[in-house]
This record gives sequence, C-alpha cells and structure tokens, in this order.
Amino acid sequence: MMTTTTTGKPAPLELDDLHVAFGGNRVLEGVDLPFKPGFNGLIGPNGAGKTTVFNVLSGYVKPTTGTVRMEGEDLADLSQTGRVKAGISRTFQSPKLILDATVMENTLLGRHHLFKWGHLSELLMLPQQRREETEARRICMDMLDRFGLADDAHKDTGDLSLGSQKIVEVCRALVADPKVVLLDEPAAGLGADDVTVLLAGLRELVAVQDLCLVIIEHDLELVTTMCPEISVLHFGRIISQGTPAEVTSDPVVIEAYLGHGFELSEEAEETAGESV
Amino acid sequence: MDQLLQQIVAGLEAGSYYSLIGLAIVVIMKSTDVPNFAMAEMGLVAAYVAWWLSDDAEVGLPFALAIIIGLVFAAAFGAVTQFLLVRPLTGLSNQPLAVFSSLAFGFVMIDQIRERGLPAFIDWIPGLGGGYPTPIAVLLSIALVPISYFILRKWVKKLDVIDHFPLLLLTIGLNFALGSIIENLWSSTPQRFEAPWSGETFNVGDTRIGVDQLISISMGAAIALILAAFFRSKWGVRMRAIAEDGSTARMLGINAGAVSLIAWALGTSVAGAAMILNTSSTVLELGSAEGLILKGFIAAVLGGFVSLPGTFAGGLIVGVAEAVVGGQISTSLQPTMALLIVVAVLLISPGGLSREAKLREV
Amino acid sequence: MSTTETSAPDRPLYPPKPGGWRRHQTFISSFGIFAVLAVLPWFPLLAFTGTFDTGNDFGAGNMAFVFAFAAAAVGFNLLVGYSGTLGLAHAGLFALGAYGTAILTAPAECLDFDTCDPVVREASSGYGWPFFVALPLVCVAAAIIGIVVGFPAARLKGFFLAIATLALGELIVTIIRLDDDVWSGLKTNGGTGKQVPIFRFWGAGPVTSAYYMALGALIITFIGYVILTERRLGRTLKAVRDTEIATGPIGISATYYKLVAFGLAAFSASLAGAAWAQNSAFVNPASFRTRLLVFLLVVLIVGGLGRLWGPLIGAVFFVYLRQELQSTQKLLFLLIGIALILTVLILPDGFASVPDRIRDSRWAQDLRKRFKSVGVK
Repeated sequence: MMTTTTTGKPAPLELDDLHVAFGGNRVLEGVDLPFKPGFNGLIGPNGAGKTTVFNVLSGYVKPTTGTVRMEGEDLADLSQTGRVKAGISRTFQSPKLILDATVMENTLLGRHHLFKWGHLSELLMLPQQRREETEARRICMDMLDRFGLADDAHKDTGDLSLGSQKIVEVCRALVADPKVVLLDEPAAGLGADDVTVLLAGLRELVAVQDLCLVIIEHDLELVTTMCPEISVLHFGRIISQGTPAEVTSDPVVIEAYLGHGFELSEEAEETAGESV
Repeated sequence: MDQLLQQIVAGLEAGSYYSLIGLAIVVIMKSTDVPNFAMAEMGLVAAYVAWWLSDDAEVGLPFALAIIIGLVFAAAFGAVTQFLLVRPLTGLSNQPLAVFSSLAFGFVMIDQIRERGLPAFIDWIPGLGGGYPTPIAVLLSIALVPISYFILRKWVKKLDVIDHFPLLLLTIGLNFALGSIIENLWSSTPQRFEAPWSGETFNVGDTRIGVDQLISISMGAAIALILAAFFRSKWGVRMRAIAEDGSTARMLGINAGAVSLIAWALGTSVAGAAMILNTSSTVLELGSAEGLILKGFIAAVLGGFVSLPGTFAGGLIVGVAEAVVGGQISTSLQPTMALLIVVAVLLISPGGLSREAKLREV
Repeated sequence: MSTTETSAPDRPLYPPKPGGWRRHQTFISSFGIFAVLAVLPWFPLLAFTGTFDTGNDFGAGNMAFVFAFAAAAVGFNLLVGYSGTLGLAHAGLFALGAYGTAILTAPAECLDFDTCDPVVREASSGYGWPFFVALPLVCVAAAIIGIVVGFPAARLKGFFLAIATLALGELIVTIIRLDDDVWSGLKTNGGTGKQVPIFRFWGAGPVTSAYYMALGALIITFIGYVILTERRLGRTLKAVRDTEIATGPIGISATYYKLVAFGLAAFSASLAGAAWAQNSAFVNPASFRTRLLVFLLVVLIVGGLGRLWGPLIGAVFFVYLRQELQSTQKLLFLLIGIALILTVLILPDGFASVPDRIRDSRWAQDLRKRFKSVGVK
C-alpha cells in the first residue's frame, strides 16, 4: 500500500511488507517502512536487521517477499548499479575506500555512473573527456568543502583519521546526485567536531535539495535531534514509528531498547514539530 | 572398450597421487592459510632421501626402514620450512631465518668462490682464473655472513595483510630453489627406486594390473581416511581455528606455533608419501614433481580448498578421466582433461565440488 | 580553515604539481630512458659489460628479450597489480601473439614448390599477410579471447580464478600444440614449432629489427599504461581491487572492469609475444608453458608490482640472470627461487620500490630534518 506525503507525491522511498530470510534465519519480518523526505532515523539494538534493510535497498539481498518502492516505482528488477542510477546511494559501517588514492579520487568514484565519455576517449585524450572530468572535480571539491575536507582533497585517504574517512565516504555518496542516501552509522567513531561538521553539512543539503536521508545510528541524542521521523527495528520487526517524542515515550520501545531514564533534549522536541 | 579396466586402474593410480598432493595442500591451507606451491617438490626431496637411504643407493637400508625415515624427514622438513620461512611473514621473529640463511649463505659462498671465483659483474678484481684458494674464500664469506644476517634481520618485514599472493610467490620461489638443490645434491639422471613389490602383477580376467598400482590406490585411500579422522579430532579443530583467526585462537589458549608446525609436518609427510609411492611405481627423477603440483592444486580446487573428501574425489576423477579419455580417444588429449575438468567445475560450482566448500577469498 | 564558500578559486581541482621541470617528471624520465634505449644499438656498450653480449650482436638480442618480457609484464601489472585480479592466462595470450603473427605473416607456400621439403613447408607456411596488418588484428583478437578467458571472473574469486585462468591459458597452448594431431587447419605445425618470418625495418639486420620491434611494443604498452592508470580507469580499477563489495552501490560494475583489465592485459601480452617471436625467430609450444608464466611473475614481482618501472627492472634482472647463468641451468633456478623468496621477505614491492623505501626510511628522514628543508617530499 503506497503512502503519500502531505504534499501528495508518492513517498521517496518505502518498504512494503518486507520479509528477508537467510536459510531458516528470519532476519526481517513484515517490515513496513515509509520514509519521508528529509531525515529519517532507523534505530534498534544490534542484530535487529538495520543493515539488512540497507542491503536490500542497495541490492545485495533479495527479499523473500515484499516490495521496495522509490517514488512509486518498484525497484525489484534493478541491479546494484541500476539502483545507483535510480538515485540510491549509501555508506558502510566501516568505510570502503581506496586507501592509497587521494580523497578527491575516492570522492570522484561517486560521479562515475554519470560520466558520458568513456575510457577510449580517455586514452585518446579527447578534450570533451577532460572537460567532463574537470566539471566532476569541481562538484566533488564543492562537496568536500561543505564538509570541511577541501584542504585534504589531494592527500592520501589512508593518512586521514577514521572519522575523516567516513566523511569522505559520505561525500562520495552525495556527489552521485542521489535522491535517497542511506547512511550506516555515519557518526560512529567520529569526534564531536567532525559530527558537528557532518550534521551541519547534511542539514544544508537537505534544505536546498529534495533529499531523503535514512540514518542508522546508535547515538540517540543525535538521532532524536536530527530526525523528525524515527523507526525502531527490533528482531526484524518494526516496533515503533513516529516523531522522536512519540518513539521515546512508547513503552514497547522503552522495554526493548531504550531503558527507562532516557529524556528527550529540548532540541529534539523542536525537531519533532518539523515533520513534513 | 578393451583395456578399459586397465585404464581405469591406471587412472586411479595417477589420481591417487594427485589426490594426495591435493590433500597435503589442503591440510596446510586449512591450518596455516598458505598455498604451498612447493608441496610436491618438498615431497620429492623426501623421496630422494628415502631412495638414498634404501638399498638402491648408497646407504643400503631395507626398503621399509628407508621410507619410514624418509617420512620422518619429510615431517621435520615441513616443520622447519614453516618455522624459518613462513613465520617471519606472520609477524613472529625472523631471527631463526636470519641465522640459518646467513650460515647457509656463508657455506655456499665458500664453496662457490673456491670453485668459480667471483661472479662476472665484479670480476675486474684480479682473479686467479676460475677459483680462489680456500683461505681467501673463507675470509670473503666471513665478511659477507654478518652483512646478510643484518639484512635479513632488519629488513624482513611482517606482511601488512596476510595475503595469499605473497605467500604463493614465496612457495614458488621455494619450489625453484628446491629443484635446484635436489639437482645439486643428487644427479639429474633418473633413478630406479625399487619397492619389494615392484614389477609384480596379477591378472583380473584379461587385464594385467600392477601390485604397485593397487598399493598406491589403497594407500591413497587410507591416508585420506586418516586425515579425515585427524581433522575431526582435537588437533584438527585447533588447526581450523588458527586458520580462521590466528590471534583469537591464541587468546583462547591454542598454541598457534605448535599447531602450525604440526600441520606443516603432517602435510609434508603426506606429500612425501605421495612422492615415494609415485617414484617407486614409476621412476625417480627431477621432473616428477613438476607435473604433479598443478594437478594437486586442481584437486584441491575441486575440493574447494576446504573439503578433504572433495579433494580426494577430485584427484581421482581427474586421474581416471585422463586415463580413459587418453586411452579410448587419443593420448594427445590427456593433458587437456585436467584443465577442462577444473574449468568446467568452477564455472558450474564456483566453490568446488563439495557442498561444504565456501568461497575463500584470496 | 577558511569559510565555506563554494568554488573558491584557490582550491586546485587537480593535485598541485611542483613547479619547473619536476612538473613533468614522469614524462621527462620516461622520454629520457626510452631515447637512450632507442640509440643503444649504435653504442654497443652493453658488450663491454660482458653480461648481455651473446657474442655477435652486442647484447641487442638480449635487450630485445628484455623489452618483450617487460611489455608483457606491463599488461600483467595492470591486471594483477592495479585491478587485483589474479588472471594467470598471460602465457597463453603471449603465445597467441607469437603464433598469430607467425602464422599470418608466413608465406603461403614455399617459393619453389618442387624443391620444397614437406617438413620445411609445414614449418614455414602461413597466409602471407603483411606484418603490420597482421599485428593489430592478432592483438585485437587476443584481447577478445582475453575477455572470454576473463568471464569466470564474474563468479570466481582469488585463488579459484587464478587456477581457472591458468588452466585456460594452458588450454590455449595445448590447442596450438595439438594442431595436425587431433585437428588441423590452424597451421601451427603442432609440437614441432614454426619458423617466424622476421620483419625487417628499412634494411636493418634481423636482430636490430627485432630490437626496435620489441622496444616499440614496450613503448606502446608503457604509454597506454601511464595514460590509463593516471586517470579514471586507474582509480576505477583500484576501486575494484580494494573496495569490490562497494563498487555495485557506487555504480561501478566490477565484472565489467575486470573484463576490461583482462582485455587490455591480453592486448599487451599478445603484442609482446609477437615482438618476442620476432626476436626468437622460432616458436614452439613448449616455450609457452606454465614456466613462462612463472617467469613473468618473477619479472613482475621482483621488479615491483603496481609500480611504473617495475616491469622493466624485473625484465633486466631476469634476462641478465638467464644470460649469466646460461652454462649452469641449475644455478639459474636456484637464484630465481632465492630472489623470489627474498623479494617477498624483504622487498615486497620489488626493486622499483627501493627509492621510496630509502626516502621513507628513518635515517633519510633524520637527514632531511638535519638540513631543515621546508617539508615537502
């Protein structure tokens, strides 16, 4: 059943009655996840199946039953590369980067699927290819600048801290002109400064483009302040969905995951009022 | 269709050798994660030792004793190789390697300088026409030994990622070096290595079957069974543990060093047994190992590198296919069978024949 | 840290290069080295070292082998070093280049049919095509076959792929060998081998022509390698090598790029093989067996995997050793074996990495601090 947002358009991304099983192991059961434009949080204890959701979305895992829809279109037949072209981008829990290439080169990989001039033209050193490359670099540089990495653009990625590397991966995902970005624990292992820069950059982006961000996180403070819409996954099922206030006061969630004594910060309560 | 039985038996015999080498490779791979390209050559060294000890050559011991000592040698050889060459790469001390190699280098230098003088690129030093007297040779070596020790000690680095590729290259180098050493220690002419049952045959209907063939086949099966039982035992489990995750295994109290040594000793003895059976059935020569190592790897690949039964079956299948196709259709096609089988199997089942085989990342 | 302006003009989009002549360092050094190599036959100084000289051509013949092996190793480098794919059919593809050009360029029949000995006829008959028509065709055909060989790469990983491609490479050589035995029509003359008609450049002698042919092959593969690896293809291949699992969600088809690498490697292998055949003047299936592959591996690894000059350095090392130890074959293999072992233990990135290792070593860094130079490496 398709959901529509308050503006009447189909949801940017939704999972409908998703079941995923590996052999006898049922990882996701009956997952209904309509994501809204802007920030969406996906939380839950370890092993709940959050990364599996991302893996289904990216095309690593085929669901046993259920549909994945992006703006109303069923994604089932798309390959992994097809999904990128459709507009889905993601990051990974531990960053998958080329350590002996520069930050710029790693980020440029995100533009790969948009290149029109192929490798033969590269070999022949055609000027159109060069122009396309330069334009791509400009876009990547702007993105890196947004997240404070412009000065590191030509350093070897392996020389950066883990936190910065994770941000590079985020940049790589963002330069692909995505409609949906899946961030798998983007703040894990980042220092407070890096987190601030990351979140500020993401906020700016969401403000200027139509973007649907799904963030898996364990840092509840972060999730409740950033995401007006949060879903809670527990042993493969959605046990709660709604604003931060709703979710954190839901007794089921408190029992299963939060524990008593979690208090919503003021900022979070403000965010709750921002649902689209 | 005549001679089919004979071809099948011949195929089973050759297949047993492939299987055994394959099993040896898998034992070492399963436990220490090293693809050992020198496996057959190491077994060949043991076979040469056994031959040299037997009454076909100098020492003149009875056959049984000779091969027992040969197998013990194989075990020791395997353990020593692991200790000297592989351990430095996995982060353990390179001291034994440095000491052993420098001393060996010193001795070889003495020998070579005495015989041949200095190598061409530095022979502008006034030579004494081809050879240097012993004292000078010794002096030169004594100068060089500490340098080589220092180089090895300082610069042998642990691999950043314990990758199969460098280890494979290491064993390829070892393969070449061993071949040369065998040639130097014993001559390059083929030798007869007679078992007490060599040459005896018996008849099954019209077909003549060699006793040595039967022994090879049954020994092959016996060794495979023993290995399978071993891997279910305590030691086998430990071996698999250290291959999966060495550091965790160590933390759990498994002595990874001892287990690795045992694994290599075991694997090399199996390879030694394979080569002894092979060379006593055919002929003992330098090239005996070269043909077998690739087929041994093919057998191991067919078993997915993890499954002992799969490897055993794989080797036999290749052997029989070769013999039957070679006999029934054309002998020229014989070498292609192994290649075709491995390509076909891998295309159909990327992890090899066994159900338990997983794809191992190399 | 500056403010977050977008498109700030002082942000270089391409890595800043040092000024002056260092800016084009790769180009200048490559040009210099190849220029020296191009005029080498006129300055037979190789003969004076006594190592490369084979007695009558002042070492040019051996240098041609060096270039041919180096050219093959460059393609191998792209496949194994850059894309991390263990595609070991290289020897078979090398053989395709050698045999392909030999068969296509050999004269269609003996010039004087009546006096032509049947054995000689087989060994030297072909289709009579001009060399520079046959060469590109053979290389493109080899690239296609290389891609076919690479198809298992879609499903096989690591060691399994290595064995599968090794087997396929051997199969190619076996097919060549079995001509006239099990089937006919390929004109390979089976296991006996075939003569190779040597293309002469403007009246130069056979050895000199072979020298320039091989040098040309090396230059072509080298230039291709440099262009492709410095640019997008290089980083895409590295992505396939290091982040394969993430390539799908980025939009990079790992399988496609592995096949591209296979094709390019096959192209260079066959080009090198053709050049090698010109130098060797005779081709025979036994020369292309797995042993050749191992030699190519030695060349690549000892020289330096993934390094620009690795193949050339490794090739010089190998051919020198082969020449030096011609009389004592057994010592040759011992030394190659030991060299390989030592390389893995001490210099995992090959000889080509020695300058970098020295530069990064502790005492070099101390020296630099002593001279108080302004930080840039």
